[in-house]
Amino acid sequence: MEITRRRLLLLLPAAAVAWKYIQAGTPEAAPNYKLGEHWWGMLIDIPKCIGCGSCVRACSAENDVPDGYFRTWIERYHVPDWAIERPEVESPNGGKDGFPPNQSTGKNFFVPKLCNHCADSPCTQVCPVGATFVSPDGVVLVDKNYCLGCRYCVQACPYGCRFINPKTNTAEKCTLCYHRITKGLTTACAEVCPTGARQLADLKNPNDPIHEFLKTHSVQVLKPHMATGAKVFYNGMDGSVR
Amino acid sequence: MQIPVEGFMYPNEVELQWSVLIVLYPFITGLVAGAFILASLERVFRVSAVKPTYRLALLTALSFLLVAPLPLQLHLGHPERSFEMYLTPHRSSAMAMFGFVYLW
Repeated sequence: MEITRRRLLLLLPAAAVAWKYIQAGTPEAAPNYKLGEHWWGMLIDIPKCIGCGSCVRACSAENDVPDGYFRTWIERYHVPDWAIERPEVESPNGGKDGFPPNQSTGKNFFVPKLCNHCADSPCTQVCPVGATFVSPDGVVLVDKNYCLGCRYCVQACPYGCRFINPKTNTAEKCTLCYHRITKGLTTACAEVCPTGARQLADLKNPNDPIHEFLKTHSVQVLKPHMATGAKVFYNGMDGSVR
Repeated sequence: MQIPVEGFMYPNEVELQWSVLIVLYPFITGLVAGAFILASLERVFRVSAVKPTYRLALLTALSFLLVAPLPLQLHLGHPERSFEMYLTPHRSSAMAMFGFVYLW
């Protein structure tokens, strides 16, 4: 094909648009980060959580989470004496503003919750277009430029971690602060936790303290019967936690 | 002894996800099926008692058939992306696979 001036004038804007498109799909550079060398999870030490709500506020600020929706939240459990099978759970505004004084009897504790970044996640399975995916480093992410907003994944998540962002009309969830962890930082929630109850864990890193911790503690995941391969590990979790 | 009703919902799950629009879809397809059966009673099975309804039934079936996918489309956050379900279907998703059943 001969390139005339007219053809060139037509081609150049097209090429510019195409280049813009390619750039938009290119992830932000994180030069020293190799996807295959990580397998992210989180460790939550329930006895350490004081229910201050800092993590919820930090998450909200870091990720611009709309009011009334939560990428992470805290539940307060009250297990009455002699009625272990009937715990009372509350999470006023996701624990964002802390908790009111509680009953002095029985057993009280806080359970921070977030996306479990399941290895076999139900949300990934049901997404009709594959907008939700497990990244090679083990983080469940949503492509908001691809999501239909069909809400199937929101219903599929057994942990209630997803919601539809009213601004974008697409599914949203905890990204394990992917924009931070790929640059060597920890997540916003773990960063602000005053007691260290939340710790980011890299299961593929042999030097990560998580391995020693998992070896020496009795650790559970939420709803193990769902066989989701959850990677948020809870230390000291009471049997009443759902 | 009365068991006190107490419960807790995960904060994100308070919102009802699949609501009226999703319920409307099987209702409309039910109408279509019913009207079509009524029409076929006259034409295929020669039931003369329902002869006056033939035209109305067939028209009803056709017109509701045309709008049946609308509620499903409208409940999507991004209806303009719904064709992606056919272009890049996710094979483990029941919704994507039912899309093809629907086409058929």
